Order: sequence, then C-alpha cells, then structure tokens
Amino acid sequence: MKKINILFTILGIVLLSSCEGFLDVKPTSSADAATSITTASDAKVIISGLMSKMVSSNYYGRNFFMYGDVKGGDFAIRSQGRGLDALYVFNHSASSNSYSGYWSQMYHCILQINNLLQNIDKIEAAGKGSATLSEYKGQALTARALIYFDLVRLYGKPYNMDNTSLGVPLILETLDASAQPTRATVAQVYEQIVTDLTTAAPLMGKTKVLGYLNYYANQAIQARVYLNMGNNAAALTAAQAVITSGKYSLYSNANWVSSWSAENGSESIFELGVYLSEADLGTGSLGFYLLRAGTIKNAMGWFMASDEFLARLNQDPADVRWGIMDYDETYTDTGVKRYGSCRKYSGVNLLGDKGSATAVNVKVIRLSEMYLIAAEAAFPTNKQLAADYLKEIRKRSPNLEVPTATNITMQMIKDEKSKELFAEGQRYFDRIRWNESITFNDDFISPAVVITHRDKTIDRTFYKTILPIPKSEIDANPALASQQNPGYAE
Amino acid sequence: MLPLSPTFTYDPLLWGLYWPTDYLTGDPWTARYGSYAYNPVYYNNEWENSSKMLKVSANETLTVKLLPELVLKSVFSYDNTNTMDHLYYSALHFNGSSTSGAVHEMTTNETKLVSSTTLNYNKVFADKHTLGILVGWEAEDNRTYFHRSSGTNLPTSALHTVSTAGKLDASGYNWGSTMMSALSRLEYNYLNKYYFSASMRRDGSSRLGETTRWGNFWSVAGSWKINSEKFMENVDYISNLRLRASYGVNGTLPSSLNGWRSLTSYNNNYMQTPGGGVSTIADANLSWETSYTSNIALEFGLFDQRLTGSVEYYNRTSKDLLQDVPISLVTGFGTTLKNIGEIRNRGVEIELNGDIIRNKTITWSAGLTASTVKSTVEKLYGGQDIIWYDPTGGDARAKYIYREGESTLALYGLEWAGVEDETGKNLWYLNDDDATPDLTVNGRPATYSYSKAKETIIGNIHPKLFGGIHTDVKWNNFTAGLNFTYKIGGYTYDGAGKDVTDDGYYWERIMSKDQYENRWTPENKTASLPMRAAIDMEDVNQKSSRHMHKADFLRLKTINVGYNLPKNLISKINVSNVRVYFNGSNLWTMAAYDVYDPEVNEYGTRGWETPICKTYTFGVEFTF
Repeated sequence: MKKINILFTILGIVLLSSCEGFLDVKPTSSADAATSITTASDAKVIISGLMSKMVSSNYYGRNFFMYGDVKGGDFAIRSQGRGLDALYVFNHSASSNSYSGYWSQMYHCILQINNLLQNIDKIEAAGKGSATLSEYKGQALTARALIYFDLVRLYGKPYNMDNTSLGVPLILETLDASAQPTRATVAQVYEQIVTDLTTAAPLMGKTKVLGYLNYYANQAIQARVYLNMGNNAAALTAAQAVITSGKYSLYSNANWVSSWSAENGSESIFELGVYLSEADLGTGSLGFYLLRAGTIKNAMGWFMASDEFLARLNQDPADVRWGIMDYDETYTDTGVKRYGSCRKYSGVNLLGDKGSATAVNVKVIRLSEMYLIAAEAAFPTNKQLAADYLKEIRKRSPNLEVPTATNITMQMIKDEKSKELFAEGQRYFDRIRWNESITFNDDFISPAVVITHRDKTIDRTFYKTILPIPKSEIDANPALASQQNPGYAE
Repeated sequence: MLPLSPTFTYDPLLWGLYWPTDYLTGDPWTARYGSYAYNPVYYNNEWENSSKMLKVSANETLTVKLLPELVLKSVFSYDNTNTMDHLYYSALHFNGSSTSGAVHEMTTNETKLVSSTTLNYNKVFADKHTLGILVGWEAEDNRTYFHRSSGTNLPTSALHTVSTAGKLDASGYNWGSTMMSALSRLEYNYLNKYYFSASMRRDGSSRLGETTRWGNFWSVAGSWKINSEKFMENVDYISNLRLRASYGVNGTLPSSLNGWRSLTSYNNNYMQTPGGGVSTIADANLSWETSYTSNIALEFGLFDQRLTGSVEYYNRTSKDLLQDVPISLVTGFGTTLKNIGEIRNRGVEIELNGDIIRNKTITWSAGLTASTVKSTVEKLYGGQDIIWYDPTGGDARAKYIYREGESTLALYGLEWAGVEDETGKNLWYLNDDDATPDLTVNGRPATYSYSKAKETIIGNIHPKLFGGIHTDVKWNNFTAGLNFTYKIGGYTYDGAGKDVTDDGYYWERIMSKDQYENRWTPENKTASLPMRAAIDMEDVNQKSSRHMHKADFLRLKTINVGYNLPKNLISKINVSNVRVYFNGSNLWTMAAYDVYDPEVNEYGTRGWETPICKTYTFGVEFTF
C-alpha cells in the first residue's frame, strides 16, 4: 500500500509539472487577444478588420445610410414588408424592431478601436513606437470619433436641441464582460469626439489611401461635427482644409454620372471598400434596396425617391444628377416613367464600380459635401463666400440661376445638399438639425395602408426622432432602465 | 407532385393568400405577392450532397501481472474518423446562381488518442473481505482537422469537380482539446452484504486557463443488501432489498474550447488584405462547474422478483454554473461565458415493474417510471437577475430569467390577458403598480398596450411529474409491447407562433390552421386569438404568455407487434428464426395543447425545427 501511495504521489507530481504544455491547446484560426497586437503590421490588420466591420450591413454597408435617407422625406415606399420599411414608418420600440444592430455593431467597432489603442500605448510604452504606429493610432481615434458622432445622432437629441440630455455610454477603454455603463450627455459625447479628432489629426498621413481614413477624412469629419455643434467658423476651417488641399477635385458635369461606376473617385475623401466575398451583401445590398424591382433578379426595390425629391430635382430637368436615376416600378401600374430608383450603389450600367452590382464601395464622405458644408457655415456671416462654394455644386443644374451674394438663400443650400447627397445617408440628420418638419410621401404606398406609428408630418419633438435603447441592452444592463429615451420608456 | 389548379379567385384589391410554389408552371420561384416562395421540387434537382465516412480504431492493451492480485494495465486507444463531404449547387439553384454554380469538397478528420495506465489491486481476505484498489492516470487528446476547397464559376453542369472551376477558394484549420487525469478508486465489500466505495480524481483540461484548469473530484458510496441479513431469512416474499447512498463531487467543463481565452479572429478580410479583430471577451478565471450530488435509494424485489422496483431521492447542487449569458452590448459583445452562480436540482425517481401473468405460454408484464424534479436558482454571483434566451436555433425564441429562489427555467415576459370579446383586441395584465390601468380583466389591472405592461415570470418549464409506462405481452409465438411517455405540469413555449399566428401585417405569410379557426371575428367574439388587422406585428412579437402553453401530454412512444414463425415451418429452409413484425412510433398523442408537438427540447421550446415523426415499420427478420 505504501508503495502504491508513493507511486501515485510521483505520478501526480509528474502530471502537474510536465503537462502544462500538453494542456495548452491554442486555436489555429484565432490568436490570443492579449498578444495579437505587438507590431505596426498587426495594427494594420486590426485597422483593416475595423473598416470591414464598419461596412457591415448594420452600419455603413447599408442600414446606417438607409436610416439617414428613408426618414428624411426624400424617399418613399411603394409597399410594406419588403425590408427596413419599419424605419420609414417609424415602427420601432425597445422590444419590437429595436434596430439594436446599430447599437451592437457600432460598440463592437468601438471595442476594436479601444483594444487597438491600448495595445499601441503598450507598444509605445515599451519604446517600440513608430510613425506608422502613430498613423494607425490617428486612424483609430478618427474612426472612434466618427462612430460616436453617428451613435449620438441615432440615440441622442440633436446637439442644437438639447445637448444636456442623454447621449450614449462613452467607452474609451476595453471593458470587462460584467461592465454596465450608463449614458453620458450629448455634450460630453461631442466633447470626446472633438478631442479624438484633434488628437488624431497631427498623427495622420495626408496621402489618399482608398478604403482608409487619412488626415483629410479627419478634417472632413471635423467639418460635419462642428456644423452639428453650431460652430460654423470651425466647420468652415475644416471644410476649407480639405477643399484647398489639392488632393481632391470635384467631378465635372461630364463625368459626374460615371463617377458612380468607379471606385476611388477624385471626390472620395473616405470610401469604404466592399469587395466580392468580403462585405458584399448580395441581394441585401444597398444597391438592391434602391434598384427598381426586378431590374436584376431578386432586386425588390425597397425604396424610391419621394414626389417631393423628384420635384426638387426637376427644378432643372437638365440636372446632371438625373443620370443616376432610373424609372421605378410604378411604370407597371401607370405606364408613366417616374424616375424614383437610384443606381448610386449598383453603377450606371449595373456593373457597380468593379464589375459587380452588389460589391460596390460606399462613399462615406465626398468633396461635394465639403463645399456644401462650407457654404452653409459661411452663409450667416459671408454670403459671397457661401455663394462661391454653393456655385461649384449648383452648376450641376445648368439651367438654375448662379448663386451670388445677393440671391443666395439657406433654402438653396439645403436643396442642393438634398440633390447632391441623395441616398448618401445625410438628409434626415440634416433636417433634424435644421429643425425642419418632415412630410412623408405616404400616399405613394399602393394599395394604401394606415400608418399608425407616426403622423404624415413629423418634427424633432416627436419622441421617435431618435431610437430606443434596445430592450436586450436594458435586460443585460439594468442601469440603463432609467435612462431609456423618453416616450420609449415602459 | 400533383398539378393543383387554383379553385379560388382572389380579390385583386387585397393581398392574396400565401402561394408557396407555382405548381402550374413549375417555375423555380415567384415573387408573387412580394414573397420569395420557391418550388422545392424544382430545386431538389439542382443540388446534391454526399458524405463518406471512414472510421479507424485501434485499442492496444498491455497487462502486466506483477503479483497475483496486482495488475498493471495500460490501454492505448486511437480513434480516427475521416469524413469527406461533397456539396454541389448548379448555376440554376439559388445558392449557385450568382456564381454560375458552386462545388465544395470538405474533409474533416477527427482524432482521439487516449492513454490510460492503471494499477489494480484485487484481493479477497478470509473469504469475507473483498477489496479492490485502483490508481492510475489518463491522458486524452482530441483534435479535428478541417479542410475545404471550393470552386465557383463552373464550366459545365456535367462536371461537379472543384478542379474544373474558374474560381477557387479554400480554407483549413484545426481545433481540439486535451485532458489529463490522475485517478484512484477503492472498493470494498463484506460478504456481498455491505458495500463501500470511494474515488478521488484530479483532472486538468485545456478548456480552462492555467490557474483554474485543475479540479479535484471525489465520491463515496455505500450499499447494504438487507435481504442477505439473518433476520430477513424468514421473509420469503422479499427476494431483493438493498439500500444504497452516495455523495460525490464532480466537475463539468465548458463546451467551448476557448471559453476562457479572449481571442482575435481573422475573418474580416478587407479589400483583399487580411483583417481581424477581437472576437470574444472572456473571463480568464473561468472555472469548472462543480456539482455536489447526494442520493439515497431503496431497491426491492418481491415474490421471486415478480415485482421489482426502486425509489430514489437525489439532490444535486451545482456551483459555478457555466453558461453563456447576455451582457451589455456596450462591451462590444452580446454574450459571454461565465460561472454565474449556484443551482440546485432535487427530486424523486420511482420505478416499478411487475409480471402480471407469468406461466409457460403467456407472460404479461407492465412497468411504470415516475420522476419529479425541482430545479431552482440558489445563488447568483453579484445577486443581479440574469435574463437569457433559449440558445436553440439562434433566434432567441424564448426568454428566461435566473432569479434567486426561482426555477432554472422560469419563462420571463409579458402576461397576456387574452382577447377582449367586444373588440378583438389583445389585453395585457399590467403587473405594474405605478401604471394606470385601461381596464380590469379577471379583477386585475390590465391594458390594451403591451408597452404599458411590465415583464414578469410567466411560467415554469419544468414539469411536476414525468416518466413512462410500458406493458409487454408474450403469448406463444406472439409478442406485443406498448411504451408510453408522459409529462404532467410545466409549460412549453411556442417560438414559431409569432410567425404563423401574427395579427396581420404580413398578409402574404402563411397562417396556421389554429389561428384561422380561433381568431376573433365579429361572428366569433369569444375567440382565443385577436382580430387580424393591417397592423404591425408588435404585440405578437412580445415574449409573452400568449405563446406559452401547458406541457401535459401522454404519448404512445412505441408500439410493437411481432410473430415468430413456428420452428417446424422454418427448419426446412435452414433458418433458425423468422420474425414478422410491426413497429410504430409516436402513433398516438394526447396533449393539453395539441397545436404542435408537445415533446420539446430541454429548454421547453418549439421552433421551426422538424417535429418528431410518426413512423411505421413493417419487417421480416431472419436469423441464420
């Protein structure tokens, strides 16, 4: 017995001392997160992953643009039940159509950024920093600013409406799984956005790299952010930094339409890549959502331009931007071609920007927008400057009068932005910021249905102007229960 | 398939009924009424799959007799399963249409190596004391290698081969786990009357991190064969009476291989360059789930084992329960694997078997099993309730809450108060003292609007009693048997109801017969389901007691009838036995709620998975 005991003890010791290697089975398709970022090239892979995650269907790949477009009055639906029409009819609540995909995907991206930033800090603290690494740090900070800017506009009231109200939880480092953070105010979120952008700018390269953020993308985001904050001077400075950089140039009237059939156009300041068998959404792509039903097999034509938009674009029937529009499905019923379908994301010839109608890059920020921001920011103080900027875009409607210091109006700038950035995810956010009321083209739905979730005309006092915090979030994070957006609270 | 002709006309102003396939034209699919219905018959010819499996197994045992009573035994076993899967979609199939056909070849190779060495000591002392001691160690290595090669853009529909494809794609990786154990066991009995055993083991697994991967587990057990005692000698009618009890600690590992390790994965390729990101945030201190089980049982046999049975009580407390639980999405993820708390299961299991008739020509026996289980959450680390979802199917079909003192399968949601007779509207119990009720239902505050009502525990999945009843008859060459299963108490949750009993909106969607018959109409004002109207399906989408149904059922699980042909008939053809039989399963069911199959998964939910089939088997069995 004694011998056996000794043998057992020896066996036990042998087991304990030599088996840690045997028991350490590492996965082969994933790496340990704690040690996966140690060099600049590791950081590059994470930045690429981040861009890929940002172009997911829940974010820039589709739903975020659709949010900004279909709620803004420039779009209408012909039939309910095709997809995302709940956004159009404002059928969202915390527990039914919560659109939690925005919340989860954007915070998932923020986690990637925070993790990358922490690791870059570690590398730098170990004395192994480099300019390349700083560049990635700048890109990560800029991306974080952009995501918070998008999040705070989805879930918080407009900055110029009530910036002391609740924004979103402000997370700047990786969290423990048990964390239950609460919301910061809109002002606090904007403050962080500005901090991130201004910290990042000096770190970033000025070369244009397709698919990634650079210094000018940072400036362009600053222009957007400052405009939302009502800081026109800063918005103008940032927009001008991009305009005068010489890195980007406006499309001429002759090549405006064809610019939608090529990637990395001369206006592209930030363009997210969508390639075949990567983030390609196929039949659920942004392109398919805007095509006429049946143009391509399985294209259902979810959204079409509203009558209001078509009338606006028709201020000049020779407007070059008609070139990206196609007649919509109403032709079957009426025999009249109504040009409500849009090919910005499928390419003029349905071949996208590189041969596929669905794997098409998303142009997140274009130079035209910088001109329009500059015009809007200059307008209250310098009509001449505003006219100069607006003129460059408005000339795409050759028959409309040229803006001058005397004839320019805010409405002209607003109309121009609607025409130029149609289907680019801007309209709703702009109109909410401008405190306009939005009237929906509900009579376009055929056969008619009663829309019970909103009135035909809304403005930003309507509680559904912003999204609810998803019920799933509140279930897992009860600290947010008392912070639900007003109106959605149980 | 029979060509059906539409015998109804539909009002073009309304949406028509859902039309699943275009039987008339055989068209692959039709966008009629905005639906993507397609014809599965057509598509069945446009794809194929096959799977080939090869299993190799080797078991080498080395036994060394060191002493007559001391044996060293070393077992080395090797199991290898190689599976080759082939999957093809033609260019006409919707899965292959965008790529001009697709073909995939996949190889999965699973290897399991176990090396176990034990030292066994067995001896009987003085013809009374039987002693057995075992000590040993064991190492186990499981690894799976996966490889896939795919081709798209196929040149011809005749060749379903990757190498002919215009575009190639591949993937390959492997995963696995290892485990090491030191084990020991002691067994002792005195005159086969008193039994005692004890065991102790130490296990280490790759599924847990360095500081927590080793666990110590042990057990003790004893039994007493009462009818071997002197004082029972005169009690003839008791043929067996045994009391046994045990207490033990055992461990459960996470099913996830890397649940403790935060990972960076690389499946976010971007513009043809690799892209990656954090894919899990894990708890590095994740540890074994440890269960402390005690049980006590009495086994008995009466009248020369004509009536046998047992009664057992068990109590199992599981600490550090391992579960994927929802976490704040602000962390970047929706769930994580955690040791969340402590649960307790206890219950009584009764088994009774008897021969009602037992003679040379006929045997008729019957038996019964009955179990009860009470399963409660005892403690949650941090004390905060955890709301979680049925993981089955990935569609969050049912919602539960872990709350201290409540059931481990406590359904959580809104409490539906049925339908208002006058209006056909949904009613909800408020369950919120602060809110102002719209009306009262059964004397309780209620509302028309689900968003005013508060969620509460609406029911418990665990039944009060469950088990089986069986009876077998053997008469000459005939045999017959019936097996019933039953469940009394508890609820099931209908995860598919929101799709087939919605209150309108998706006009082109399928409507269940149950809804068709039980929906509110001006003619049917006492209906159980609300009026269908062109509203959005918010109400039906709520996790609520509307989708919760009583779980009670009795089912004829199997029935079998057989006849062995007389020997004199078959001996001429050199066959030792011929049996003609019929087996049926699930042929008859009685259920408190019979709209769907009451036999549900461990979470008590019913979704879109294929229900259990009724099967009929007729056969002839030859024994040579």
